[in-house]
Amino acid sequence: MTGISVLAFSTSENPLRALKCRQRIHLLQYLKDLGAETVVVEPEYFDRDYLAEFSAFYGVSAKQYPNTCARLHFFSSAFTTRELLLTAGGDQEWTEKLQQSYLGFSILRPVPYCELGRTVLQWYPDLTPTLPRRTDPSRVYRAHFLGLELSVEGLAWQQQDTRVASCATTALWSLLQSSALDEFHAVPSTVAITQAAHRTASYGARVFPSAGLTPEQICESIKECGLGPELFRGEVRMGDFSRQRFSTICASLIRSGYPCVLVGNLEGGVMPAHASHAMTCNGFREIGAWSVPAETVKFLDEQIEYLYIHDDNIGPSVRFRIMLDESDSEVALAHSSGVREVAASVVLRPSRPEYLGEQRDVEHPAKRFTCFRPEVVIAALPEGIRTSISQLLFLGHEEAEALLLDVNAIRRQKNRPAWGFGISAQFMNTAKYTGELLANQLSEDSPRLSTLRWSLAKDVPRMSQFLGVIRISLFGAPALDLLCDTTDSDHRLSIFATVLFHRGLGNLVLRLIKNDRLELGAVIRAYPTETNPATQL
Amino acid sequence: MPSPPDETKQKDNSAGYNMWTLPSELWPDTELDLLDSDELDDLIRNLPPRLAGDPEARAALAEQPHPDVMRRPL
Repeated sequence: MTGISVLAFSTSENPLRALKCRQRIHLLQYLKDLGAETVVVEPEYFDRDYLAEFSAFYGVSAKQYPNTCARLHFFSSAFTTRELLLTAGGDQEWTEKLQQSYLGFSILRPVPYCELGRTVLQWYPDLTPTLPRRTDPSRVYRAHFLGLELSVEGLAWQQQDTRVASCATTALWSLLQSSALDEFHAVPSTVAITQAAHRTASYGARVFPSAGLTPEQICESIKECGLGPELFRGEVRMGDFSRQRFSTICASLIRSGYPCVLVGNLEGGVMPAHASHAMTCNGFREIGAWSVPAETVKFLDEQIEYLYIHDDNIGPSVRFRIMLDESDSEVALAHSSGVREVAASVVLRPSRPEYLGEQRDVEHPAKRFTCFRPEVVIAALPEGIRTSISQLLFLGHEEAEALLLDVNAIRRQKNRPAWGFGISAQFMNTAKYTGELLANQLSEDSPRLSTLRWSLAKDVPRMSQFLGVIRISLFGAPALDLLCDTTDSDHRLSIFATVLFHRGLGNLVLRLIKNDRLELGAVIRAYPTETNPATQL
Repeated sequence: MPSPPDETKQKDNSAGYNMWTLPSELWPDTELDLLDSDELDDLIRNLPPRLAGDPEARAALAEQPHPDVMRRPL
């Protein structure tokens, strides 16, 4: 038995290169893009997930599978066994160097064709920080060996192993790793997820080998984990999604820290008809404020362009572009006839960032299909959140529209051009809203921040643990936040408080409330007023 | 304090921000500041009764009944 070894990433001895699965191509490319120089191999590693799989399936196989895995650590710095030994001896310089250049790890299971177990890799560098890649579900994973503690931020991915976990199980396993769910459950193994799905909704199918899960079984498994499932279906023809509904729901969930499982069909390439598939959306790219037409209320996120997806067929953090199905003849016919607008279906296409160059490897798993057509979006929320993100967006649209009608009527009386509002919504821990969010937005105005927080505590003493935050924007800037109670049902969704950021609109909102045109809960001004330079409480 | 940004420029979004990422010093202010409360109250009293909004714009977010009637919650 050999011990820990240190190899150059580019060498043919790199164990990643010897794998038989297609996903190795994506991992090798991804790590090369991150500048991987060195791989450290731990040949014997007990992995919690594989041990669960071993106990449920492999341990009683006549093939005598081993119960240990290997673990690979990837680094962007070049070093040899000598430097690693220095680090093990406490050398400060090399310890820091290894920590700073750590790119993540991958577990190798002793199972041919399904070797890639739990894998966490660093994200690509974010090149547009003003419109960042939103990766709120990510968490910090810590790896220990030789007395070292190395950390990487991401969301765990693994290859599907159909004996114990279908693509749906694997996607749900990644979803349940979200940092936003930390307080509410222990992350289950793929085996536990598959078993949980069959506990109450087996439909007569055997548990192992796993034949896959239906959307309802995914929801049952989420409930068994002590969380609340949220399922959203497409609303246009044949159960497809419109861009507006799909993009807005996905972005709102990710902003809230909740990844979502996308269930749908792979199309084109070598895929057979009706190739059902599930994968985990764990990030998206923010889009700049876009021009909202006057007299309208638009969802900011309906125009997002990119999602980041863990696809067990391809690899972790694959960028997909959100596109409209141009081949839809019904849409083309309706548009050409001009009778009425018909929403086109949304499809997702793998889209490698341009600056990394074209994907030329014809064997790359992303080239096996042309698009993924989502039909169902599933999320897992803490049970304390009893309202759906779609209802929150619905309420936001209603309130914004009511306000906009009055605002524009007044602006017309003053011969001013009409406005349009943008809206966006997310669930947020109340502590995060009053802490991080308000601090980021009023960081340069300590008195305003202080009085705003004080006022929220005074005027809204019983806020729920989680808020539904609806943000209404004017010309791309925050105009006001509606803070909603999440502890009641969709039909009783109510507004705790309204925080006004925009002075002109704020003055008008206050007069509309005084004249009984609006009901927005406790109203708090977050802008300086004439009577109080800091703020008016 | 920077001067209030020009509305046209904001529509171009040349800085590449949105409502969650815009730094507070770039938030706009508008001419509605100039209206006093009495004037606003007069304008509000002249508003027409509230009309129903645009239902089609919201329809995409409304939850649809389950397509399989046997599984539709009642």
